[in-house]
Order: sequence, then structure tokens, then C-alpha cells
Amino acid sequence: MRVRRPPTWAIYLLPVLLWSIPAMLSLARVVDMSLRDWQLPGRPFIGPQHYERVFNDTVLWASLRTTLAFGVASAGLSFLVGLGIALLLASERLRWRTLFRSVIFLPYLVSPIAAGVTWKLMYAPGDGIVGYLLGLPSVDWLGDLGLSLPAVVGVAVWQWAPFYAVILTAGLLALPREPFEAAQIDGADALRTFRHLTLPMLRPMIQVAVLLNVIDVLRTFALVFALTEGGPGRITEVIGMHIYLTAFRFFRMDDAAAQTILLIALTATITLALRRLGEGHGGRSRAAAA
Amino acid sequence: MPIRRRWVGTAAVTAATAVTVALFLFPIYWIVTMAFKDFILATRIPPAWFFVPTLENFQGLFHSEGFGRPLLNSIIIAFAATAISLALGTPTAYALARFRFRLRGPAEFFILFIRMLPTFALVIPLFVLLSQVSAFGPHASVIFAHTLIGVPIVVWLLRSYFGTISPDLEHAAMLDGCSRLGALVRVTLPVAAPGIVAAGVLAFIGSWNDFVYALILGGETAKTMPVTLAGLITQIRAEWGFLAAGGTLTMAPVLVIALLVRRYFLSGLAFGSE
Repeated sequence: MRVRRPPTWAIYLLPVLLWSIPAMLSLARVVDMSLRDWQLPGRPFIGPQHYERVFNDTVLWASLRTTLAFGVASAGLSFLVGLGIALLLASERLRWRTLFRSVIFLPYLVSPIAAGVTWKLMYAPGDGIVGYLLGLPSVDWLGDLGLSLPAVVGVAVWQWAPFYAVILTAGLLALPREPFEAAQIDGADALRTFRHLTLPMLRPMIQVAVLLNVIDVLRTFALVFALTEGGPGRITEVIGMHIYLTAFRFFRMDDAAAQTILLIALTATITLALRRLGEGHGGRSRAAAA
Repeated sequence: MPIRRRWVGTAAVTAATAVTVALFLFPIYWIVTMAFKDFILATRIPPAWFFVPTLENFQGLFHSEGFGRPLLNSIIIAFAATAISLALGTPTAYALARFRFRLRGPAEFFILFIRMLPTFALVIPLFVLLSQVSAFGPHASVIFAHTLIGVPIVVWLLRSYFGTISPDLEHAAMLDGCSRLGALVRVTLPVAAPGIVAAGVLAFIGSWNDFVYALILGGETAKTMPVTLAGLITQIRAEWGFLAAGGTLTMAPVLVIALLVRRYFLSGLAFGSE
């Protein structure tokens, strides 16, 4: 009898398959945790009670709203600023372009904790450089109820706009020249060319960059931890911060597990929706006609 | 006349770019220079733009705050996590790029799924699991957790990179008596070296910059730079010079490495986005 050899691809995938087992067990464990009461001895199975609690948790809903506001503002602004920088960096008129292109990405690589420390010192009321440069030395940017979330968004944009700039500069430089020459011959002005030619052709890159940004936004934690710890009050308590507080400050691992499962579902839904959205507008002609 | 307008356009674009780039780099400049100021100058407003640099903040950081150990931990963990991520991710990326099989779609989705998972989805159960089983050292736990960041980056980036390398070279090598693995190691991997460097650097950065896994799983023994720095923030009386020096030490290795290999790295970022 001959033993059937496993297919070649399986050998290449075997290491990663073994590696993924603990990750999958951990995920199964979260589901299990979310269905038991960890406060009671023996941790009895109680069904979806934590999920009911989580749904009725007004603080959680508030933190989801904060996450939404933070995410929409930071992703939108990062994209717009990043696109602007990319248009500058890809311009034929630009001098010393190698220099500019090779340093713009640096803020994106700063660890969120280091970025948080840096900006915390810059935002400090009285001695901070931001207040000094803007002529508003007494403003407490991170401690003010109305300013703290915009201040955190500012730091996120400082980190993510360079990411968009790098991706979109590469995208702009890779665009074919012919359509632009044709548009020029047809007498299209710069704005029309940008709206009907450049943007639709950049669409795939924009889509992936936004996707990566949104995934990151939904798990934002370290930056907020370093800047405000969710305060003042709970104004900047994004969902990552909320889960952290539930699990490691109030030690409700079971509630935190249920919140995590809901966050996974939310992230998966948004990821799929963004991909679907991209496919729906995939046709170049349709995008150009829109 | 047209020559003159061209010149004006160049000056305007270059000036706008210079101002924007300077604005974005200013916080890094600010924190790094503050790290070299003494404790009086660090908080002085209006700021001292020119000053005599001092190393006292860094000395204080290593002597009284014990930053030596976290620095070593960060280096060990980041290198180990990068090596393991490359070892696991490269064959996976190769298989996804070269072979057609039924499980390819699900395998790709699975990698994307791990990339997408909220950090806490794995940190909570790993924390509970590891507090029960202490056979796994804290260093190993953090390294394993960091491969969860590294492997998806490596697979995603190298899959598209392998896709651009023609399989003809490998087939030629296989006709000459090489095994498929031999052809991969001797022919394809050297051609893919820039992609592998880019993937390695991104995996390294992901590990170095991580906060949550190191905070929860590392404990005191495997404390990394970001965790130690975060601990410093919560000290109410922490000196600005110390914070600035800690921030500088945390961001410097990553920024220097990225600048050194920026060509590979930038193409890698762009590649990962396809």
C-alpha cells in the first residue's frame, strides 16, 4: 500500500498552521469567558448574560460614540492632509524631492506611547510649546472637556497623514501618463482632471490605506493611555480604553471578553463593508462617471 | 515669461512642501532636543532654541529609572519576534503566491483576520492562560504575541512581492536538478531580498512599538521600552527632561533603522497596500 504524500503547498503552510493553534485557542477561550460568571466560584456557565449587560452599558455606548467621532475625524483628516502632502511630493515642480520623500514617513513610525509623551509635553498648559506658539499659553488642551478629543485627534493625524502621504505618493507616481496628456489636449482644467482622473485611478490605494487606518483606529489604546487615560472624565475613552479599564482596573474579565467579541464583530463588519464598497465602485468607467 | 512662471511654480511648491514637512518633523525635533536640555531649560518658555547639550537626562534614566534592562528586553524581543515572523511568514507567502489550492482563499482570509483582531481579543485570554501556566517565561509570551503582529505583515507584503517574481527562474533551476525548496532558497529568496528586508523592518517596528502585549504579558521581567516609558508618565513628579530622554530612546532605534533602509522600506509600505 502506498502512503499518499501530502500536497506540496501543505508543507509550506504547516509552520504557520501550528503557530495559529494557540491564537485560535485563545479566541475560543474569549468566547468561553464571555459566557461564564468569573466572580463566582467554579465560574459557572451563564449564557449570554454578559452580552445583555454590555448592550445595556451606557458607558460602553458612549465609548463607541467616542470611537466613532475619533475615528471619522482622525481618518478623514489624515486622508485629506496625506493626500495634500502626496500631491506636493509627487509634483514635477518639487526640488529636493528625495530628501522630502525620505523623511515625511517618520511620524508614522513613532511608537504611540512615545508620541503620547511627546505631545503631552507639547500640549502642557503654561510650559507647553503648542500654547506658546499659538499665543494661548494658559489653554489646557488635554484637560479641557471640549478640546481634549480634538487634541487627541491632532496627534493621530500627525501619525497617520504621513502614512497616507507615502502610499498615495507611490500611487501618484505609478499612474500612467497617457490619460493625463489626453485630458490636457482636451483642455480639462487641473481641478476636473484631479476629480475625474486622478482620484478614480488612485481609488484602490486609497481604499486599502483607509482600511488599514480604520482597523488601527478601532483598536486605538496606547495613544489615549499615554495622552489622557480616557479623561477628562470619560471624554476620550475610546473602546480599547474601555475594554482595558473593564478587564484590568475593574477586573471584570468576563464582561471585557464579551466587549471584545462585539468589537471583533464590529471590526469584521466594517472591514467587509469597506471592501464591498470598494468592489461596488471598482469599475473605472463608473467611478469616472460618478 | 513662461520660464519665469515655471520658476515661481517650483519655488511655491518647494516652499509649501518644506513648511509642511518641517511642521510634521517638529515634534520629533522638539522631544529630541529637549532630551539634551538640563532641567531648567527643558521647561523654559520662551524656549531656548540654542543651548549647551547635556547628557544628564540619559544618565538619570539609566541610573535612577533603570532603563538599561528594558532597552535590552526590547532589543531581544524585537529581534526574536522578527526572526520568527520571517521564518513562519516567508514559506506561507510563497505558498500563497505560487500554488493554486482550494484552501488558498480561506488561508488568506485567516491571515487578514489575525491582522484585524483587536489587541485585547488575544491579550485577555493569553493573560489568563499564562497566569495559570508559568512554564512559559514572560519573554517568550511577549515574543509569541509579537509574532501575531509580525506574521500577517510578512505574509501580506511578501505574497505580493513573490507574485512579481517570475516562476520561470525557479523552473529552470528545478530542471537543472534543484528541488523546489532548493530553487526557492537559491533563486527566489535572493531576488526577493528587498521585500524580505522591508517585511523584516516592518515586523521589527511592530514589535518594538507594541505596548499592550508587553504591558499585560511582560510583567516586570520582560518590561519593554514603551511600557517603562508609560510608567514614567504616570509618576506625577517626573521631570520633563527624563520623559523627553525616554521618548527619544524609544523612538530613535526605529527611526534610524527606517532611515537607513528607507528605499526598501518605502517600497514595502507601498507594496503592502496593494
